[in-house]
Parts: sequence; C-alpha cells; structure tokens
Amino acid sequence: MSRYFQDRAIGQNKKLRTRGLLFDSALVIFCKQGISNTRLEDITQYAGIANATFYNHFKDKDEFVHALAISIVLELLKPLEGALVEIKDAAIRIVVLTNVIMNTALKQELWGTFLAQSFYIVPLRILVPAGLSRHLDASTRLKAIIDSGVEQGSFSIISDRFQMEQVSSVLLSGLRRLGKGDVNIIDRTSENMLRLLGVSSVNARLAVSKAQAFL
Amino acid sequence: MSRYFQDRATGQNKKLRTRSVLFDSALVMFSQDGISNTRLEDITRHAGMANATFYNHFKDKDELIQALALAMAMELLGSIEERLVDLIDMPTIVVAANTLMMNAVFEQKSWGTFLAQSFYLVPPSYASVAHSMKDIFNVGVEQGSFTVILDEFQMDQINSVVLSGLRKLDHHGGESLIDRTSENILRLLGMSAVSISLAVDKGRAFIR
Repeated sequence: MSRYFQDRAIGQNKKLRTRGLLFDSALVIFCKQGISNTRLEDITQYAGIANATFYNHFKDKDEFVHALAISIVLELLKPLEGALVEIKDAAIRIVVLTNVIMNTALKQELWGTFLAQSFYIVPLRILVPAGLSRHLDASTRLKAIIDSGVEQGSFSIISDRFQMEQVSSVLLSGLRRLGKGDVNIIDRTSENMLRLLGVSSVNARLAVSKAQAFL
Repeated sequence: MSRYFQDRATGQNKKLRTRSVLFDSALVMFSQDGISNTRLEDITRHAGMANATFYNHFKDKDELIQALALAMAMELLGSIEERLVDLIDMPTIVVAANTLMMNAVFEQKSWGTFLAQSFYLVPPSYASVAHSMKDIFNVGVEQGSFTVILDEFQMDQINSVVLSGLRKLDHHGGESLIDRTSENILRLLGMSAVSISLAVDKGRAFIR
C-alpha cells in the first residue's frame, strides 16, 4: 500500500491521520475490486479500524469517494502552481497543464484508475470544492484557459460546460490508460484535447512540441 | 419502471425472462441510488425475487452491469445498422450513426447515465461492439477522411467523448447536443472544421 496520504498527515491531528489511512487503504481496495463492488467493511478491515470510526468521518461511500477524489485532484494541481504564469499561448498552456497532471498521476499508479472510475459517480462540480480558492480549482482554471484561447482566436469552439466536460472526459480517459503501455500517451491526450477545442491537427502537434520548452 | 427488457423477453424461456426482470429493476435502482450505492438486495427486492435467484444468473454486481451494458449496446446497434446500408461516405455514416444512437438512448431515460457510469466502473464487455466501430472508422482512414492513428488508445478517447455526451443527454437532451457530440467525434478522427460541418449537415439530412 502506498502511504501517500498518511505521509502527508504526519504531525497533523488525529482526524487527518485517520483520513489519510482511510484514503490509502481505499485506493488499494477500489483499484483491486472496483468502486462499485467495494463495501465500506472491506476498506475499514484493510485499514484495521472499526466501521464506527469510518462514520465519524464520512456519511457514506459516495461522500468518501468525493473526498478522496478532491484530495487527489488537489495533489495533481499543486505542481501546477506557477507553471503557467509565463505562458501566454492558450494551446501551449493546455499542453503544459495536461503534462503536469498526467506526470504527477503517473507516479501514483492507482490515481488515474480511481479518478476515471469516480468521474461518473461524482459530479463534475467536485472539481470546484466549496471553500477552495477559485484559483486553485481545476475546472475554473481549465475554463479560464479555454476562454483565453477563444479570445486569442486559437480555439474555435463554444466555451460552455458541455464542451468542458467533453474535454475533461478525454483527459480522464488518458489518465485511466496511464501505465498500460501506450506510446506517447501524454502528448496524444494533449493533442486530442486541443482538437476538441477546435485546433487543427497540425497546430495541435505544433503546440505540443512548443510546450517542451516549458516542461 | 420501464418494462423494456421484459417486453423483449416475452415468449422467451424462463431464464431470459428472469434476466430481463433483473435488468429492468437494476436500471431503476441504479438511476435512483447510483450504481455504486446500489446493493444486490436492493435490486432483487425491487424485482421481487430471492437473492439466490440472482446468483443463478450472475456472479456479482459487476457481472450484471456488464451484461446490462452489452444488452443495451446490442439493442442500440441492431436498430442502427440496417438504416445505414445506403451510405458510403464515412464521416456522414459516423454522424448518422451517432445521431440515431443518441436519439435511441434519449428515448430510454436513464440509459445514458448508466452506460457512462458503467464504462468507467466496470471494464466494458462490449469489445465486439468496439471492434465493429473500429472497423467502420478504419474504412474512413483508408478513404482518407480520417487522419489519426486508430489504436485502442484513440478508440478509448473517442468512446469517452460519446459517453460524456450520452450522460449530458439524460439531463438536457436536444439536437444541438447530439450534433456537437458528432462534431467532437470527428475532431478526434482528425477532420478539419469545414469538413466536419459538411458531414454533420449531410448526416442530419440523411436521417430526416
């Protein structure tokens, strides 16, 4: 079991440490038997804690899946801080964003599988968790980049929630396939996202190669 | 409860009739509570049968989900194929097929959400469906309309766009959403904006 979330909770209060343990345990179980077949007892048993303890933290499995998905998304976005500041070209920003997210996920082999599974259980709005700074959340950020691309004239699409979800679904499909041996998976995911933003295949490939300078 | 699968099993053997009750009941519970929160007992209770009966048909919930998704995919494709035999131009076929498919899903409330959820929760069982899709797309590559590498990865990307469209359909519906999904499929097949809008017009015209 990866101790990712437990490691981050070291020195924190008991509540956060227990959550860390539940997160790490759940990832193992979810990815082994699927979110839908996992019962709460499977997770608590693996974590070595009582069921009652689980309910001190979460109402049910869905709330728990929400919380875990938010935590992972936040971790994926952390390395993005500052990475986009100097980049003006919206297409290149999309490529850098995709690279940062997918490279971070690549280091945690269970994250991609889990996020893709949870995507259709958990509504898209979890990417905008309540109380989180607007600059931190994933969908506001993606939307801002897309809007700037439309303004710059490089994205020729209607920038609304539907198109956002189509673009996000391609990113998640890419995350899910990480580690399955596809070649150039990150670049190809970036290209497909750009295609969905109305960028021609040629320009999409160009943006991917230009982005290398920032990575 | 929709009796979609039960209606289709009328006059069939007992086994198929029981499966169809489970399918219809499962859809009700899944769309009410979500796939992940639904327990087997919820489904059997709704179907009015014993848990043991369920296990005569399926090993676990995932196997039921796979079987249901496959049954839907077969229903959807069966009705589409015969309507497209006169078409030759691949981009037009893709638009027409996607439009017919999404229209059919829209008629069956809750199919879209189920298909989208199940695709990510359980490895899809409809590999045969995916293969025939890939065959169609490959003809487009040979004809020069599509300019991408059509491997498992690209197919997965295209599938995810279709399923995201299907899920939105349950909530919103509407022609524009179906056309935009078709456009996005063609974008992922490497077509230019001009050719895409042409194909969407032609595909639509064919269906009307």
